[in-house]
Amino acid sequence: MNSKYFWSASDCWLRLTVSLVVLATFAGCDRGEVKVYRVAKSEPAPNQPPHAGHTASTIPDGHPEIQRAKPQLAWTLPSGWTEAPASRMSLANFNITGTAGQEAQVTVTPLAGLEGKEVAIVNMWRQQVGQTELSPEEVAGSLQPVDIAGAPGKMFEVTGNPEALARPMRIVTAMAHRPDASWFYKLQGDAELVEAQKPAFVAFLKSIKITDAPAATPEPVASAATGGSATASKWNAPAKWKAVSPGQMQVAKFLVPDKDSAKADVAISVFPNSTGGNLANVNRWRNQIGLPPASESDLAQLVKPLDEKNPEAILVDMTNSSSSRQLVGAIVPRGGQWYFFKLLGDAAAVAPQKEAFTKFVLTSNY
Amino acid sequence: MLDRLVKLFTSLRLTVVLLSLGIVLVFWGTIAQVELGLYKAQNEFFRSFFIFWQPKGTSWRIPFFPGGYLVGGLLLINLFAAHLRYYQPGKRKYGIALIHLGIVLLLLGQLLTDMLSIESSMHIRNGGTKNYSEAGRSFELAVIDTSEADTDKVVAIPGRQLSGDVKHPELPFTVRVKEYFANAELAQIPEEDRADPKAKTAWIAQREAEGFAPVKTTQGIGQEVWWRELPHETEMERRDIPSGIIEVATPQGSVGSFLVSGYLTRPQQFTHAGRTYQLELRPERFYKPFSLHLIEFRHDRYPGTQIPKDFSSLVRLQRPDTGEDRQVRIYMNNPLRYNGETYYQASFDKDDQGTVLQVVRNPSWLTPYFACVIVSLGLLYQFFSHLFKFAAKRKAA
Repeated sequence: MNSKYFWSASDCWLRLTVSLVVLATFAGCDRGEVKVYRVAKSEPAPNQPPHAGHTASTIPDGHPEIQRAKPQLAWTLPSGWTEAPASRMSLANFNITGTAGQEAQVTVTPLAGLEGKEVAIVNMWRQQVGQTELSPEEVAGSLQPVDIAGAPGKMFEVTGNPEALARPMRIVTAMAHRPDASWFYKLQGDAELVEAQKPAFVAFLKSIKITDAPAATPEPVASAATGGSATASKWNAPAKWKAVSPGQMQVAKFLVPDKDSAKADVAISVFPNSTGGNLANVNRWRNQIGLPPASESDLAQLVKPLDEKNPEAILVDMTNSSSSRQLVGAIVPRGGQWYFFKLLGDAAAVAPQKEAFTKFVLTSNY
Repeated sequence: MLDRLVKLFTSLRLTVVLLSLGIVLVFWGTIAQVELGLYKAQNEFFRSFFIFWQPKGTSWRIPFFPGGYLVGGLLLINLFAAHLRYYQPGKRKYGIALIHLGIVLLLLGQLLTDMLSIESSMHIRNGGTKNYSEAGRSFELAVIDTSEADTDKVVAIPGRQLSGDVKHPELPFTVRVKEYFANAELAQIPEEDRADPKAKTAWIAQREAEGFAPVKTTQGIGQEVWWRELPHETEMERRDIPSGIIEVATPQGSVGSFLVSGYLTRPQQFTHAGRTYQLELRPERFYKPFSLHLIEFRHDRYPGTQIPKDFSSLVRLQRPDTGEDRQVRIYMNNPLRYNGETYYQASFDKDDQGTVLQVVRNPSWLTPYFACVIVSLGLLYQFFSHLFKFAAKRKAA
């Protein structure tokens, strides 16, 4: 052993390397693993309107309008078809892919008030694929009988105009009128694939079973005992406001009373940031009532503080006198989130609600 | 060559240079916070190996000064290497060894804290209950199977894994990330403009001029939404809000593509093989085996003034598996330490009706305390050994 050094240079490096490897192992610990777990159901999102977290069997005040229950469908799925999620309009969707990569879709859509309007329906589909309209006699001649869910229906076919479309396209539509609505079954896509799938489509129509909707039931409600974020949020809306289903980017929406034919509504959105700041939001709102954008210097004139306790919360009231559209908006930063309240509509309906709107923003527990 | 490197890494000169660089770095990084904000300054100066200079109008990033990781890392290697090289056992050196060990532990502790600690926050309104905290900046894609009556099964994919095809044994399909923006902005055609083709066209033209493009999805809300990518947020009080297009792919074909975004308030829904699923891009969640119920948040002020005196949260801690049920008051300098985590009173709602608790899981939180005790013991040992020697010499004289 060297008398000056306790360890030789090579010993020293060996030990240092081992130490660094141990450190690097720590550093390499991956905290980005996929996590799999179970959570108690009906964990309401924070800021959700009061129906979430409510366990009573009655529908609480302010509950958004419950969507009308839809009839239940059952079918035998033809081979090669895959189920796709239902959309807002359709009750069922299917995708079909051909061996050469061609694509086709099948949709099932009930639409009310179309019984006896076969001529308009057929011509609407024809227009969609660039074909000329048919006379009522021609339409009557194009309809073929078909069995849909054990009841008689009608079917017609439309081939796309090759001059108007980039790819050959074909639509086969079957329809049956029921007391609740006219039901449309549409097979649409690549012309060759649609032709090949027509027998499967007819068999599918025959296999369908429709069960009428059960009596309207409230949406599943959350259990307060789940340990989730049983939020105490509550929109303190005036009694005359009517809660309706909010849009996707909204947490709540209310219709305020009409004033003659003037209409307005209140929408509430929550975002995790200020979405560009007060000026950008005010200008977005100005655009919605047809006003030109404001400058930074105009902003101070347009906005006023909403609440002494919350100096960052602002209120803005803007009217486009030429279109008689008015917007009263409030932006409230709270708990790391930004709440956007908007009373928008015809000035005659908005103006009487301004005071109630301000009170609503100030007194709601969100 | 090896000897030269050993000399370099064990030299006192390197220590002095690194300490000088460290002083400059701390001073510079502190001043830079005024302009860059705390978060960006921390990342650029301290959580980096180099500080980069980017010439205007170019995408070059030229390193021109060592960052915190490089200075700290080299200092650690220097201290460690010098000690391994020069340490000679003996009573006289115990104190010095302890001091060095303490400093090494301090540096290591900070490194481990940086690597292993997880910070999140829990926002509870008065009367509300939470059993999870949420990350401030990281997002996750939650694929939730809601088919069962009592519980939901969640497969949470971290945002940093969202690229290409994501497969997992617990998922009966592939999550295909078609597009993903770490920070994006969404815009939806106002309801009142949708039925008016003229207004709709004007809206679209304006959005296109602002750089928005239509979201190309086959299902859900994405079909009505426009988006644009935004640069990363660097300010402390702002954060990235990611958005993406997710396709659910099965061996039989695609179920559809969906928009997921931190802006959406409700998840996207689809069915597959008779089961119902939801897709949600949300701040990363950390579930706890217990819940906290906020009984009361208090914001006390000095009488007759608006000067804050105290902020506190009275919470009820309930843990079903152990039957634990107790009240805890969390206030400044008196956090709740529970289940390996520390809950600090961090913020509150402007209307004083809600609290924000900062939740820190730091497995190495005790290392600075141990390090300080060890350094103190070393200093005491060194001091007293000299004192006793001096006293003995004096006595002998």
